[in-house]
Amino acid sequence: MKGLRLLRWSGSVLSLRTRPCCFIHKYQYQYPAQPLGLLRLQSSAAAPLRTVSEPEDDKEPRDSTDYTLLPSPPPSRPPSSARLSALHARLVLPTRLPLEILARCLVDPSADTNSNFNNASLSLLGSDLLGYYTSEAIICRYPRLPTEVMKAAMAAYCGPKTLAAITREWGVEVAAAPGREVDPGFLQCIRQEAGNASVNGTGTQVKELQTAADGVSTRPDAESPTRGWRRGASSKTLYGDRFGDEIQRTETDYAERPELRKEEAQRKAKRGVTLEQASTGFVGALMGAMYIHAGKKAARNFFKAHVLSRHLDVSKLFEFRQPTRDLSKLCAREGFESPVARIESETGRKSRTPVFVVGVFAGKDKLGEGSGSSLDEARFRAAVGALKGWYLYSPLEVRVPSEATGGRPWEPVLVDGGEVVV
Amino acid sequence: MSISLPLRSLSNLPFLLPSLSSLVSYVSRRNESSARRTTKRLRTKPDASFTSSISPSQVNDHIVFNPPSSAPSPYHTPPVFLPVNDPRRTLLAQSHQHANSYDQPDRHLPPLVHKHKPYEKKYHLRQTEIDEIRRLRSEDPYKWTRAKLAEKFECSQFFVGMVAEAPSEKKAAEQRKLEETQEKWGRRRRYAREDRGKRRELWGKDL
Repeated sequence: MKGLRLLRWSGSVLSLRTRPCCFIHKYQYQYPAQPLGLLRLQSSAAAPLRTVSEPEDDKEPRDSTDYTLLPSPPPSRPPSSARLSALHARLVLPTRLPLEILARCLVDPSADTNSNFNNASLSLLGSDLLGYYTSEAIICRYPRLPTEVMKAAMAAYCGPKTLAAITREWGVEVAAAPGREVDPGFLQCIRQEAGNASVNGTGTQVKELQTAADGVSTRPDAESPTRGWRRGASSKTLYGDRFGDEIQRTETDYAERPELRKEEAQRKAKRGVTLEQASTGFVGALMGAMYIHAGKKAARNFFKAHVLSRHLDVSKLFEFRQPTRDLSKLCAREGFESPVARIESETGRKSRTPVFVVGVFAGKDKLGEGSGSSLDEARFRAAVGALKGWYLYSPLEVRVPSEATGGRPWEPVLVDGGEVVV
Repeated sequence: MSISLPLRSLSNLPFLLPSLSSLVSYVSRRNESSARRTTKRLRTKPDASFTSSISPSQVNDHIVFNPPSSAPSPYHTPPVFLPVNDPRRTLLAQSHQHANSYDQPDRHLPPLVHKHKPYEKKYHLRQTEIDEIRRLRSEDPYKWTRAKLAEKFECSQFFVGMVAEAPSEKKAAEQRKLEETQEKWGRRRRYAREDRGKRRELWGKDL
């Protein structure tokens, strides 16, 4: 496998972007003045936007350091922010990752719609990397895992909830509202209005949260969302994202109509994002920044240290409805003898609290063992144990594809026949 | 009344016992014979697995590994489930402790949970018989139930349900009958049934 040469095409991400002074004038059209209700009514709040948007301002040359209009901290601020340096040091980020980029990772698209200054591009790259590294780690370690369990494990390692928890554990705090005067060490985003809350200042009540589903769905049966049974494992694989959840737009849509991405960002800025979404964007962006600035190895180590090191008991993610039937199907498929339940030990059969230990045997080989207070329960649990033993097989030496660039030649990992389908 | 601690054991001074027992609470009172009996009972020879076969001078160099019995971990793949090229297959087969003990000729397998023989499928029904099942079922679904048909044609009830489903009016009638029965249940029976269902769900989650 050949590593990509990102340096060639990532100039826009690697070099620091500056906003020229003349940009301020264009800027007024790009960022319409916010309604007065959204302004913070504090003594430290920025001057009202309307005063500077008057056309006669063009006559007098403006001071290029006047950042009153900027929605996020300017790139000159990060070196003087103690909070940002502390975060850089706490995460043991390499010196090759500059503070300015770390500050950019903390700017959500909802705070600054300009893609040169927000973390959208970095988080797109980083979330793909997170998904790639996580999925290869899970699949290579547990090659027989069923699709549903795999997706649940993916969500447990790098789902939005986990990434929000990681952000909290890193000690990243969220700014009450974004702005140029805010310390760049805060996560900058416009928070979504809570359901049943009154919109700031207007006195109107938001009765229901707008769902993300106001975009177009990629699913063919989008007109019937109530049909829950339609969403099987294969449907989730085809139409869902990496966690099996529904997605509104695919990357192909964005490639065909690039203006969609901008629309999306503006919609987000209008409506705001949840803390979970902003945290997801931040962790993804930091991952992407690590990849671009410090290289693949550093990014992998960063991923291992902060994501893969989290403890997840995969065996707790299973839920079986008819394990005895599944097990006999599995044995028939793999050419074992049909499973038979046998009593290994028991105590207190005639008492109020009996305990039975039942083993499932295929011929003379024991497949699993379970205990319960009735023979049925013990047999059921033994079948569950046997199925888990099959699905949770893990090879001795695990070498994931991303580690196989150069050095030892690549040896293919185990590809299993798939889960039991009845 | 003041009591000085007797130098001799209490059993030699029986006249002290009644007054002492009135002072000591009922819980902490015990007599000597039971204490001696308990100590004696605890003084048992340890199980052979706890003692090492090596000489006492070398005991400190060794570790006795004897974990308590517990449920097997789901991460331990049974040897049958390992792929053919997995090195653990041969390693486990060679090991004394982990090799399959039921392979030895003098070792019998544990008794079956279900005493009857495993069900053997016969695959003896042809298209004519299946048509006959369907005809009977559609003629009088109340007489020719799944159980009756299965008995007549020597197949499983599941197979009858597969080839000849009951008409919808019969299903609805059965459902009504079930609901009528459930109406008569009291609070305790209903809750007990619900709890049983919930516990059953926990079996599949291994909780």
